[in-house]
Amino acid sequence: MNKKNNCPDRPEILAWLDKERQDETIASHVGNCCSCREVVKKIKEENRLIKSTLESLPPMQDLNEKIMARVFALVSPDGNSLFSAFSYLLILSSSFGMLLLYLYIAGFLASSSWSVLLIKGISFVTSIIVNGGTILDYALDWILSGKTLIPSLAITVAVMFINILQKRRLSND
Amino acid sequence: MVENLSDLEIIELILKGQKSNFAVLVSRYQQAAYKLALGILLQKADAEDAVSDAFIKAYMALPGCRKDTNFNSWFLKITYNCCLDILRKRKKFQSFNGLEDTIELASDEDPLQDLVDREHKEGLWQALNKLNHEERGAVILKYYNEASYLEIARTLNWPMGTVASRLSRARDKLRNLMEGGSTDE
Repeated sequence: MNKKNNCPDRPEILAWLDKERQDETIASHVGNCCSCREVVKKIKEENRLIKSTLESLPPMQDLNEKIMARVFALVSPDGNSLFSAFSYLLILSSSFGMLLLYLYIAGFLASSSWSVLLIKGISFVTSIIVNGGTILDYALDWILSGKTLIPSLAITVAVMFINILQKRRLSND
Repeated sequence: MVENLSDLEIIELILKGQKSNFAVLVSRYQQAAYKLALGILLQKADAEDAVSDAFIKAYMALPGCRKDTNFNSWFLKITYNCCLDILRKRKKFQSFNGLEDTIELASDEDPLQDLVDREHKEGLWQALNKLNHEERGAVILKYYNEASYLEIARTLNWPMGTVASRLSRARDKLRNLMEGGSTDE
């Protein structure tokens, strides 16, 4: 309340008009106070203008088709637990496979002569960069969207396969 | 008819695997969400993107939507957060191409009333553009979406006790701007 003339503050009148305050004292005061009645009248007129302006904004084109196309491309909202579990297993097993591969290569490097060691070392670092990046990429893709797991996984497996073939060829040479 | 079902009943159907029923919720809420997004972002293309993203996020979050949740206010909060994401991207990439200061307003049925109102409405839209995005959001939520102060507080992450004063301040700014003043007054 405004202490000088006992009139309610504007936020109080606004909250009362917005039906957020059930205050009988404001209702009876407004009934007896000309200046508050004027404030109420002005606020009501502004309310009407704001509402009609927002209602006059042009409607948006119907997005139903566009949104539903995106929805159908998504994993179902119940989480599709079987798909998620399968995806998770794929990531874990391929990461574990990569780890084994690197351990094997590291062991092979340790038992080779220095010239072979250099070539193998370069190949090792390259494969870590390529495969590590790809694994990280598809893991992130999966976490963020759940859409690109299979293609990314296929690329990773292909890169792993090529690497193994190359290493075999190198060790045969 | 699925169209006659409540939001909650439709959500239950979707969670049972009937994805296509989500289209009913899209039809029901897309325009209300668009008005909020347009009011905050002030650009039609960005507002459409925000609404589209909000529906996808809502769809993904449906399993977590509690039975006592009001879908409308829950969805408007998601829309508001999508608008904030776009505002953050604009800031990061400085990709904002300018406000839509003038927007084509629909005509009233009564041409005389239309003539009187049009000028006021355009003035109000331009004044609304000059508020900050939170204030615009509050005004639209209250006077277009008819949200309660509690719903406004939840959507905008405002303390409940400050909604009345902030809304009143936004209204004062609007009034000043429409009378030719500035937001500082």
